[in-house]
Amino acid sequence: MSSVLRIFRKDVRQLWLGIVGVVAIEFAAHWAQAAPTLGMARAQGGLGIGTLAQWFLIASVIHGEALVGDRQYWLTRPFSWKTLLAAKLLFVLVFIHLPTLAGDVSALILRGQSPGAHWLGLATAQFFTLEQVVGCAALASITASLVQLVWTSLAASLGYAAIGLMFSVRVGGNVSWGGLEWIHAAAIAVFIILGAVAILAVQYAARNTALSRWILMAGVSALILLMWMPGWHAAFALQTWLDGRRVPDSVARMGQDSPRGVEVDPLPHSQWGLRGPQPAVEFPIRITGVPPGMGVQSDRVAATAETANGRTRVSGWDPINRLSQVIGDEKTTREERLLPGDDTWLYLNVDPYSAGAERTLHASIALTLLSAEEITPLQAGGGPTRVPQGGLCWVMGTGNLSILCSWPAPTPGYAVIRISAMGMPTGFEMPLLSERLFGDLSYGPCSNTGGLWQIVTGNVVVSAEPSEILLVTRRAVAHFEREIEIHPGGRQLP
Amino acid sequence: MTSVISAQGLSKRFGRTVVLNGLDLDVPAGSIFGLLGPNGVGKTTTIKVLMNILSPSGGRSEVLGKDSRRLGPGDFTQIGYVSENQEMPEWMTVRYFLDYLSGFYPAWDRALADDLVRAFQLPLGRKMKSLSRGMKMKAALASSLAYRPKLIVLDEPFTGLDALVRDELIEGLLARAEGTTILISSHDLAEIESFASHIGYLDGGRLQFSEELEALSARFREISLTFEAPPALPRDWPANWLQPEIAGPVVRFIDTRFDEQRTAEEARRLFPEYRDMAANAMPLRSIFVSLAKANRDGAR
Repeated sequence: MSSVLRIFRKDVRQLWLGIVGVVAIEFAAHWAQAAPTLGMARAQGGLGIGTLAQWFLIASVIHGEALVGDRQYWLTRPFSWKTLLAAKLLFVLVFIHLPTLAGDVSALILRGQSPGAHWLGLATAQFFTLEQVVGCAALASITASLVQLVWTSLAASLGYAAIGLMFSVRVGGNVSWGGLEWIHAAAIAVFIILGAVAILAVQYAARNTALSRWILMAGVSALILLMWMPGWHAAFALQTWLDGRRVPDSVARMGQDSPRGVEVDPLPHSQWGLRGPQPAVEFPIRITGVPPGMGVQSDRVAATAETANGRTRVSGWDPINRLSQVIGDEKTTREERLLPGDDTWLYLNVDPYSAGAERTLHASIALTLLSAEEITPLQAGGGPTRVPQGGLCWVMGTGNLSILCSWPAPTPGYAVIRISAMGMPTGFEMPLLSERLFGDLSYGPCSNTGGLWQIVTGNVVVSAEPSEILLVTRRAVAHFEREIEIHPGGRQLP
Repeated sequence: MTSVISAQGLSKRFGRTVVLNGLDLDVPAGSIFGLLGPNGVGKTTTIKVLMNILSPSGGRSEVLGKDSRRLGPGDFTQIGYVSENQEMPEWMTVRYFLDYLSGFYPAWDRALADDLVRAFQLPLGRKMKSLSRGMKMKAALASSLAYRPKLIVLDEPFTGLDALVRDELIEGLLARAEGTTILISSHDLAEIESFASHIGYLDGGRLQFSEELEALSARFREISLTFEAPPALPRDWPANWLQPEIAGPVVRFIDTRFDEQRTAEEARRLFPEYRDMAANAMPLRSIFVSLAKANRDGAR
């Protein structure tokens, strides 16, 4: 232990100036997310600088006893690799993990939140910090200097982006897991941590840089595949298990809404770089049994169709397939996955080349039960507004509204900004100018990107001066699945 | 005499380049072993393999009785290693460098360290990056002697140093490392011939010979045979007679296995008509130059 502390003290002595700067940046960046006097954009910028500062410090401490090369004085000194590695881990624990934890804890306290109530979020955020720490340490361990590290990181990032782009064009670009993205991010983090630990073990125990670089290349390639990894349904099952709440069968019963016919979406769905145009088919669905005030959110749908010619087609848990509603008037038409209602459609992408007359269609629908809505008026142009679950929201601008909200995890499962026009006589309902869903919010103990803080932003263009800007939030109560059989009635699909 | 360092069939390749090719080496305990050879023949590679800085491609070697591939922290408390191209912690002051290292060596002798600092006139308050090359070598040597290692390994320690600094280093080393085994590499024999007890000559990836310095000096002689008229060189020229040349009525060569009687008999057999033979002792520098030339010519 004394050798570990000796190396640790030496590193502190060497890097004290960098430590002071990095710790201040880290602490400020995490703390600033909760500081009402600071804009969110600045807080986000601070996080970016904080990450760069972390990388600088980690690389510096690893390069203090560089593992690449055969000229370092320490190679023939009585340093055991375990001692050296332990000293470096102690360093990042003290100067990376503790300041970020302290920043998050103080930010929670500043928001009037109990850190104890967010312990899981704090722990998860530290896990994702560990991902960055060991990832950077592994890269530093296969480079001899900061310049080499920058070039290696750039090369790895470019390789990752290039292969990822090619893969995206071929396979499809929608890789977000929605509210379960935190599980996706956690799986990737586990992979990165395991790969980084393998590289660190090889480098510290054997200084086999060639092998470590092979591990890095293999890891980057595998990571690209992981971005598109299957397993969304397993993640949904895991989330359901973690929540531990069973939804009775009487809640959110589903059936085919026969009076409405099957519709074919006239607009093919295509985006640059993604899969080619495919027509979509919408089946009318009726949902009943949702407790008063509560909501049901559609996450994904997996469908199995049997055609008249005996062929079976399976969609998988494709994010394009979903249950959705069309809400609003002509001006404010929008599609929403918040159910129930009569005007609900099961939206499925259909492969035109294998399509035939659907005889039966079986759909498994993953759903999230949401609590009653909590409505908070937001203050435009001024300081931040406190919103449920420890969140803060800023509204900036007039005609073009920029709205930023942040919550400490766990966040609401659903959030909408509802903007009404002013100037209506008393007693009339104010016309809705806009209602905008606030992205995918995390169902997990941390944000979708793995931090404690979930930051969501949105820009809303309104035609008239808004009189009222409301934030409508709901908590995710439970996750469950429903099955439905649909008989399209022999309609010829495109 | 037991060996502190031994190697059998040691080889090291970097890609397709073979640097060591079946090296055999024995460094006796208590010896000052000079590992000599021209630049680029693998002296540094040999030492780095022995110090477990590089892994061998083949063969085996032992240092202080332990497989060199398994040398660990415990072994390095008994080994001092100084190299001309070592990267030192430039940000440290000399004082902090010595203080920092002292904690890793149970046998660190603070009085000896102070003595070395005085002897080498090390500026304790200055950072390593501001030291001259000679001062850096002195600091490195001081930090490698202060724990009284059983083995000191010096890789080209005097390269680029002026004569005064070189003498100070040698003096400091010899005065404080009595009984310690020293392996020192150099491409310049003049640097180490005054104090080395054993010499190994590395070339072509192998140790061409390895022996005590006195025996080496004794077996190399420059032979001059004088004739009445310029002779011709016989076809069965002995392999141990190097660099034959004819200058008028005189034939000169270097006998690498000189024995007064045997050399005379061999000369008489090849040149029955020679009139006179002179055998001159050679400075070690000349011995190595002739060996290097012979190896180079042989390679051609």
